[in-house]
Amino acid sequence: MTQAGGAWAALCAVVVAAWVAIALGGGDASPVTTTAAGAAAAAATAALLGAGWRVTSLGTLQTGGVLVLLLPAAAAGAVGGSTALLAVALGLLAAVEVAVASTARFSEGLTPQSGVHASQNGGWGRSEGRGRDGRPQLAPTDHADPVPDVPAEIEGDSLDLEVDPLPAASIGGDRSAVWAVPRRRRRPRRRRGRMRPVLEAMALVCGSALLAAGLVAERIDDGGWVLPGGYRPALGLLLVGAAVVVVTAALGPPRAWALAVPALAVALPIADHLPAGPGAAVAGGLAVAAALAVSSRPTVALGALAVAAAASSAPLGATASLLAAGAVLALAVDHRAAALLGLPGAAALATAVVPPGRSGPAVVVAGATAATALVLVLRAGGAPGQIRPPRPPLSAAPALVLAGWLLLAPGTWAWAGGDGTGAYNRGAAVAVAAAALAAATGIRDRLPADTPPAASAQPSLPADHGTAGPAVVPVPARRQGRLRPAPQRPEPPADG
Amino acid sequence: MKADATTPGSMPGQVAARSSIGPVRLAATMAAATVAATSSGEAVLLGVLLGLAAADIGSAVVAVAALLALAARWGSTSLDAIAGAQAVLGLGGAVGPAAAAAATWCAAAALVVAAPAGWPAVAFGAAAALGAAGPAPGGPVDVVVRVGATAVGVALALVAGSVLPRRPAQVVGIVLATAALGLAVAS
Repeated sequence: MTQAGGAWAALCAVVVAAWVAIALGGGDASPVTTTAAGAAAAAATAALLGAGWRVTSLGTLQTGGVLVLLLPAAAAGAVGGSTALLAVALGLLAAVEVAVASTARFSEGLTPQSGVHASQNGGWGRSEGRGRDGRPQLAPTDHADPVPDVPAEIEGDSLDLEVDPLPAASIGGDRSAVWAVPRRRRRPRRRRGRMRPVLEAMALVCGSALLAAGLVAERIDDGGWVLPGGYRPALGLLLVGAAVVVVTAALGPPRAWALAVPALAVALPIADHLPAGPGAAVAGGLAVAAALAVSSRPTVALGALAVAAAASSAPLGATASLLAAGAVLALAVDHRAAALLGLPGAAALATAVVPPGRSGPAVVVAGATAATALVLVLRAGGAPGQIRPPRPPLSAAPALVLAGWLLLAPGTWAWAGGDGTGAYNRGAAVAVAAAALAAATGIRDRLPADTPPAASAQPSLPADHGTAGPAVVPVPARRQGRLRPAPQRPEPPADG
Repeated sequence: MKADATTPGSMPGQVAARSSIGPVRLAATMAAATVAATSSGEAVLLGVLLGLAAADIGSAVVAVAALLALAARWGSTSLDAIAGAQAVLGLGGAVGPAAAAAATWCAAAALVVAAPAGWPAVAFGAAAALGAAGPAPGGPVDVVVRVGATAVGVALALVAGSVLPRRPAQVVGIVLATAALGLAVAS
C-alpha cells in the first residue's frame, strides 16, 4: 500500500503541476480553458482528494485514479468557464456513490465505516466515521459473531481503533475478544453507526446528481456550458446541489471533501447573478443558522457567507473568493479553530463596506458575518484565548501551512482577489514579528506578575492555619466526620 | 494565577512569580500593542488581536465594534490611512463633523472601559489613543502628541482594567461602541 500511496502522490503532483503550467502558460488547454483561479481550484481538489482518499485495493486505485485525473480538471474547467467535464465527473461520482450505498446497505459483517471494508465493497475512498473531535470512530457491529471479519479489519492499515488494551489473559489468544470492548462501549449507538455511511453516500448521490442535472439542463436550454445561464430552474438545482454537497463534505466522510471545490465554483458565479438584497439576506441567514447548528465544522458557515458576499454586489467578489478559500481549507484542517480562516475575508468585507456609498446588501452581509463570528466564538465554548480544542491530526499539516499562508498574507492570493488587502498584510507581518519577538525573548518570564508569588496550590490543612495559603473555613465539629475532600475548582482568570 | 515554576532557592511550597497571562495572550498583547502603536495594519485584524489578548468575548466584541466605528468615521479600515488622515486633517477627537468627533470619543472610551486587567490593557489603551489622537508622525509635534496620547490611554486603560468591575464595564463598553458605530455611520 505504501507503493500505491507513492504512486498516488506522484499522480497528484503531475495533475497539479500540469494545471499550474496550463494556467501560467496562457490558460488554454483544449477542451478545457482555465485561469489562475481554475488552477488553484484544481490544486485544491487534488489535494483534498489525496487527504480523503486512501488506496486499499486495486478497485479503489482504479476508481480513485480516474477521479484524481478527472475531478481536478473538471474543477479547473468549471472555474474557467466550461462545465462540460464537471457534468461528466459528477455523473460518474454519483454512480460510484450508488454502488457504495448499496454495498453498505446489504453487506454483511462489520459496518462499512472502516476504510478496508468500504474498499472491499467498491468504495472509492476512506469512509470511516469521525467524531466531533475529528478522530476516527469505530462503529459497532450488528452481528453477534464478528469473528469472520476480524482478521481483515485488524490487519488493515487504515484503521485507528480505540480499543482498550486488555491483559493477555483476558484475551486468551482469541482475537474476537478484542472486539468485545468496542462493541460493549458503543452498543447504544449501534443503529446510527450502521446507517451513517448509507446516508452519507445517499447525500453525495443527491448532491452530485442535482449538480449534474442542473448543468445538463443549462446546456439543453442555452446550448452552452458556461455559468450562469438564463434558465432559472437549472440555477435553482445547481444552488441546492451545491449546498447539499458542501454540507455533506463538511459533515460527512473525508472522501467528500474534494467535491466542495467544484460545488463552490458552481455556486459563486450563480449567486453573483441573484437578486442582491434577497440573495444576500437568505445566504447570510443560512450562514448564521449553520454556525448555530454545526459550529464545530465552520466550512458550512464560511461557504454560505461566501455565497452571500457573491450575491450582494460586484465589489465583494474578492471577499467571496477569500471566504470560499477559507471554507475549503477549513475542511482539510478539520478543526474548530478553523473558523479563523474567515478572518481575511471578513477584513476584505470590512474594507469594502466601510467607505461611504456602501450598498444595503453589502451591509447585510457584514451584519451576517459579524453574527456568524459571534456565534462561532460563543459556541466554541469560551473566549478566543481560552479555546482549547483538540490538536489537529498530523495529516492536516499541509493544510495548516496553507491556512497560515492565507491568514498571514492573503494579499499574495492574487487569484482570489486578495491583492487589495495590503493593510491587512502589513498588520499581520507586524503582529507576527512582535509575537515572535515576545516568544523568542521569553518576555513572559520577565514580566512582573499581576499578583504576588503564591504558595503551593495544595490546599492548606487546618494545622497550617495562619500560614500562607487559602483561608480555612471553620467547620462545625459535628460535621467534620462527614467531610470529604472537595474537588478542586479551576481558578478564575486572574484578570477576571 | 498560573504558577508552575519553582524558583531556585525559594522556600518549599513557594512558586515563582510569573505573569498571569498565558503565552498566546501575551503574544496577542504584544502584537496588538505594536500594531496599534505603529498604526500599521487593519482595523478588523487589530480588533481580533485585542480580543485574543483579552481572552474574553465581551472585550472582544467591544474591541471589534469600536475599531469598526473608527474605520467608519474615517472611511477606511486601514490604520495607516486613519493615522494619515489625522496628520493631515487634525486629531480624530478634535476635528469635525461633531457626530464623527463624538463617535471617536465614544469608541476610545469603549476601548478604555472594556480593557481587561493586567498587561492586555496596554494594547487597549494604545488602540484608544490611535483613534482619539493618533496622527502619523509627520513632525516633532505629531510625535509628541502621539506619545502623550498613548501614555494617557495606556494609563487610563490600566486603571480601568484593575478598578472597574468586569461585566458592568463590558456592558458600558458595548453601549459606547454601539453609540460610536451609530454616530460614525450617521456622520
